[in-house]
Amino acid sequence: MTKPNTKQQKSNRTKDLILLFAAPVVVILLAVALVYTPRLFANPSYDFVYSSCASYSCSVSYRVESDGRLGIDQIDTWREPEKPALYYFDTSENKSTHIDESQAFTYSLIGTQKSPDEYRLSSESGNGFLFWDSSSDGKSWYLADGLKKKLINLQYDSNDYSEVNLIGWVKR
Amino acid sequence: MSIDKKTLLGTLRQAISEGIVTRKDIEPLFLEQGNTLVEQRDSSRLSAVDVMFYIAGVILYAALLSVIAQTWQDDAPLVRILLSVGMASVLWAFAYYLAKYSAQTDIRKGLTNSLLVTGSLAGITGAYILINELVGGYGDVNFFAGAIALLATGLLHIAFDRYIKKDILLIVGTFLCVASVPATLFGIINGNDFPLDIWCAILVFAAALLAYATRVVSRLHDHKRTSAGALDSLAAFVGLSSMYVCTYGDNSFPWFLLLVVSVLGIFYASILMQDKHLLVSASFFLIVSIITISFKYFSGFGVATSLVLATVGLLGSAAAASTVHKRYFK
Repeated sequence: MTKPNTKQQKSNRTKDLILLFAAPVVVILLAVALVYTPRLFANPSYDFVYSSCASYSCSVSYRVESDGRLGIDQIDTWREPEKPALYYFDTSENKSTHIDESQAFTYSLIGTQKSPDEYRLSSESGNGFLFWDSSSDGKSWYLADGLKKKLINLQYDSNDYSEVNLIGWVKR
Repeated sequence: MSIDKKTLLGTLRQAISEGIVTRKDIEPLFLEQGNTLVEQRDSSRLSAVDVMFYIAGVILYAALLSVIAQTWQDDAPLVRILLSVGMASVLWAFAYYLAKYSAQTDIRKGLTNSLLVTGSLAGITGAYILINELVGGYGDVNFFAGAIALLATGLLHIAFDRYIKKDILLIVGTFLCVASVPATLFGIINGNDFPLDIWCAILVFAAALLAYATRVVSRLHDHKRTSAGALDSLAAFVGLSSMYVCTYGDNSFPWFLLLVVSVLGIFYASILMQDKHLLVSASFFLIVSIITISFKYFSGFGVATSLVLATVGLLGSAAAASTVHKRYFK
């Protein structure tokens, strides 16, 4: 009489355990699919120019003039001009190249936060998987359009002060 | 060879007082005869003495935290890890010794539980310190690392419970393992501009999972160990507070609706399970919801109107909770 009961109990326990482990696994898999699948379809196409100041603050900042050329703002006139480094990011090759002002002047830029194909430059901190953060300061940089995101390699001095400032998207 | 009942009971009494025979030795004898247990132990109920021992354990943990905080400036991660993980190991080893190698008295049992609580808290702190040292900073929240730390600590609790068989370890272990699920989900959605609703929905799911996991753990031990509803109050609190937080988001009304339905559902569950803690949780959120509704939707009619509505709601909730308690709780 006791044997079938024990069998049934065992079967119920197995079912309980399967459900207990399956529920979180299924939800996690769904979340992974929801978050990471759109990334496969991320295809930003516009290159951009950005600056990065390696010290606490730079005395110069860059902007885009109304004619699309690079403009310079002198923030502090009383101290030695300290210019941020300028970089050109090639989206197709996922590569940053250091450029000087004269090269930057040659580009026709769009000074909006969003590129014409709706991508933004965004960063995430402390979201790397354990030790595998994408950069030495723990920041990962993305070109993102909602859930469509592409991880990019930005070159900059990763000390405590430096910031990456998007100047403009390069007109094609 | 026959032995009369009086002699048998006398011998048994002496064996129990000397610790040769325990409750665990006797109870299976009744079960073998097809009888139910003479007395079902309600493991979820704590005596005042148990609570005092647990409080002592928490105070000991506070002392340990204070020592760790004093070493923080020295930039010596090894000292921090040793103080937390090392201390947790020592406390658990001592608890193991007390539980296994000495006669069990109420004081020893209380001391063992107290050491287990302090060891458990020190272990969780140690896991937090260890994982942050590995990740390289305490500044940003790394949910994936946190999830691994929670899961590892939870499994450690469950593994240690197999040797020492203490309910507190099983409960804390279950809680930590379940907590690793929302931590993983938070890690996945973090940085993707998901609305508040998704974060809350994850917490509601985690609360349901916590309640279910406790039941499964209880069933796995044939209801002899942890009570099936040991973490129900916590699960209800987490679930209902998440829903309440979401009522301040963009989808306020559906969350309010869900909150009210859940509160009523928990009222009903508390009657079925005869769980007064659940009744308290549900009553608390009913009161909070009524006050919120009074001020959120009726503030246009003046503060006095909102206050009167809140008072009427409060009195109504108190009357409802009191009626439920008197009529349905034995």
